Amino acid sequence: MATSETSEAFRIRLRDWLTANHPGRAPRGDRAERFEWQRAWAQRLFDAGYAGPGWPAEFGGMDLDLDRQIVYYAEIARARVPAHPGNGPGIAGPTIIRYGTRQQKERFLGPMMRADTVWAQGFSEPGAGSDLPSLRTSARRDGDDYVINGQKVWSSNADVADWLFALVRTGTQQSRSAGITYLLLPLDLPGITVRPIKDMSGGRHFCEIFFDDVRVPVVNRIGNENEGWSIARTSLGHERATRALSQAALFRRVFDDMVALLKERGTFADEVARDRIAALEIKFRIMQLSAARTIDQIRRTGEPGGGSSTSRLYQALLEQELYETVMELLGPDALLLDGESGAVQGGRWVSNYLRSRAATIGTGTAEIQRNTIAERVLGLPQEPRRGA
Amino acid sequence: MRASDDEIEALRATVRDFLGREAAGAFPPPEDGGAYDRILWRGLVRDLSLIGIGIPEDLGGAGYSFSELGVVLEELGATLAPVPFLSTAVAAAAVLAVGDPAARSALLPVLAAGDVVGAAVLTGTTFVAEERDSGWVVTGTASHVADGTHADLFVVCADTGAGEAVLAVATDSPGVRVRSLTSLDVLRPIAALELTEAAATLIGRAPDVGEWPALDVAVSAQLVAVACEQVGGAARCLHTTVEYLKTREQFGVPIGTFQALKHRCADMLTALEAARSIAYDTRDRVAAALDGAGRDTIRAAAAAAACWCSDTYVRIAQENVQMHGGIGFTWEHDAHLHVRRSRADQLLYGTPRQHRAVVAAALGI
Repeated sequence: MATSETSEAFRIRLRDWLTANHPGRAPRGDRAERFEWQRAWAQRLFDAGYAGPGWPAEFGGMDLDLDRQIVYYAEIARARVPAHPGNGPGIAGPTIIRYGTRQQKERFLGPMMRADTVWAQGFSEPGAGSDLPSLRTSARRDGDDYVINGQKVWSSNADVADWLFALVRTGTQQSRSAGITYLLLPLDLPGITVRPIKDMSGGRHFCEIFFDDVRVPVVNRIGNENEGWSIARTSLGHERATRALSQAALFRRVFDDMVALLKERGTFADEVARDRIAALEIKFRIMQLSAARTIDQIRRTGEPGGGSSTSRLYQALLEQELYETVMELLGPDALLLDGESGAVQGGRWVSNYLRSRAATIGTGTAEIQRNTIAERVLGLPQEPRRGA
Repeated sequence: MRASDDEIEALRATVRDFLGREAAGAFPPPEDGGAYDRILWRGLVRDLSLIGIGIPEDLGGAGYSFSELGVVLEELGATLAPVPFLSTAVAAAAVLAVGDPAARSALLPVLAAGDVVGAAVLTGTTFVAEERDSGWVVTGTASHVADGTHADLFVVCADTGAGEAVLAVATDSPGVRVRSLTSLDVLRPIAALELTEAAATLIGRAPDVGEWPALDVAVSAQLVAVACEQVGGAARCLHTTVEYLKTREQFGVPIGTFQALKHRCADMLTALEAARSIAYDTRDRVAAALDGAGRDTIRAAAAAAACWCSDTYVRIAQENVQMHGGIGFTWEHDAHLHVRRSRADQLLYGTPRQHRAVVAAALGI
């Protein structure tokens, strides 16, 4: 990568490449087909050197400075290209970069970024949601293997993914977070059953996973035994900051699409509609400014600073407000689902409205996030936790 | 000139130390219900020369920018310092934004030196300006001028019939009537200003009828100056609330253990951080716009900041009362002073609804 290239020149180069290589619209076929389409795009990005903006170059990333990462996410959002399939680069990747052995990094990171292997997350269990440290899926040491038994749930894309990063119990149940280990395992091992769960939007993105005497080599462990909790919880501050930035860029585009749609429909003849959209516009401006402020803080001080702690909650609530507002302003036309001839933009808004209800549940409910902000940032006392 | 991060922190610490109210809370309301704290004022404007922080050095200032002024305002907003600092600083910023060279050299050194108290009246007025052989005269009224009671000099926007103009009117000129009003914010009195053919000096005027980008910058400077104060006030209220929740015990535990309260604190912090993000950004944009950059987008950005920061301050100030329970409702407690300030500032410079209308127009809807 030519380091002498200006941000603007980089923007033009990336934009030109995205225009020339755009994969077009998503296939209207089944989920697997769509998934392969995403995978193919991730591979094309990788092969052209446009994958992993913040990742180290030695693992196939671009190793961009923050200015260029900002440009990157803005251009990706603008281009409307498929998202990377699975949870690898966002969550597992940074963890492996930080805690993995040399061999693990070499083995997993490149294929993860290229989507040759697609990753799902196995954290939650039927009995361990917000209280994740109570998880029960057990990993019993047997020679050079762990033997896994139990059940995971809400694992997005586990039915189509190749690998799983999971938290399993290696200590006693009473040891809670001090008895949890971080493991990587292929999803086609004997003893694994994956079952998709139909979600409230009608989609089948997430799954439950059953483990019946599944043998996983000990070399697939990240970090030490019983230290998985802190590995999973370690604040990957910069990663989180750039994710906030890419989310901000994406949702800004969705909001702009919504404004264009409502304008076309004549919605803004109504003063109240104008006022509501102006209120949202202010919130979207702030979302982008907060992301940029965090990046700027990192640049100046090396730390993401105060603004970053609340941005995930802010974004989740705003995503929901966006879809709630568009439903109301579209009126009954919003009710028609994909396939119905009068559906607004193929029912895109109503299905995203339904999906947005997960924004305050997945990866930590809004309530748990509020606990964390209150206790860790504001220093309010912990509530009494039974069994803690 | 822009201060380094270290200089900014030093500036913040200096103002904070000088105000010396970190532990003591807000300044108490004045006994006589109108005067401002002249000792505090002298310290801020003479000893620390803070009004002039964003005024160029050759005009008697320190040569920094509006960004540094914003830091000062944040600290003043936290303590509710009873001085006409905001109004004077905004009057100076308005002169910077629209003033021709003669007006700048005439007014800015005087303002920077802290010799006069200023007040800017840029929106919501009926002022009409007329040029006569003897000079300019202004006629009209402004109903709610913050710190108008204390002002020696008004910087007013008026219609000339051939576009808008901004003019300076000295309070002691004939035809100037300032009527103090008893109003909500006891620490920042407001006044009605009535001008009847009052002698005025031209500061700057629009090239013609219609848009006047320099005036947008002046109005934006006012909104964003207030927003910076609001961030300071909101941060202080949240801090006070959180400290109280850590120490106040009921049912045998600190009440801050209860989710019903801590979740609201988390929401308040989320709103406050959002307010910081937009206030800091627009503060820097006003600084740039005063140098001529980005004048076409500053007005909507300032309106967005004004809307969010005023609503956030009102909300956090009210929550501060609520979470303190009975003690928060007493006159002795600071909490009501922030409710008063936040509600007054939410309504004095355009209402949130009006700010959103500006944002909507910029969005093209």
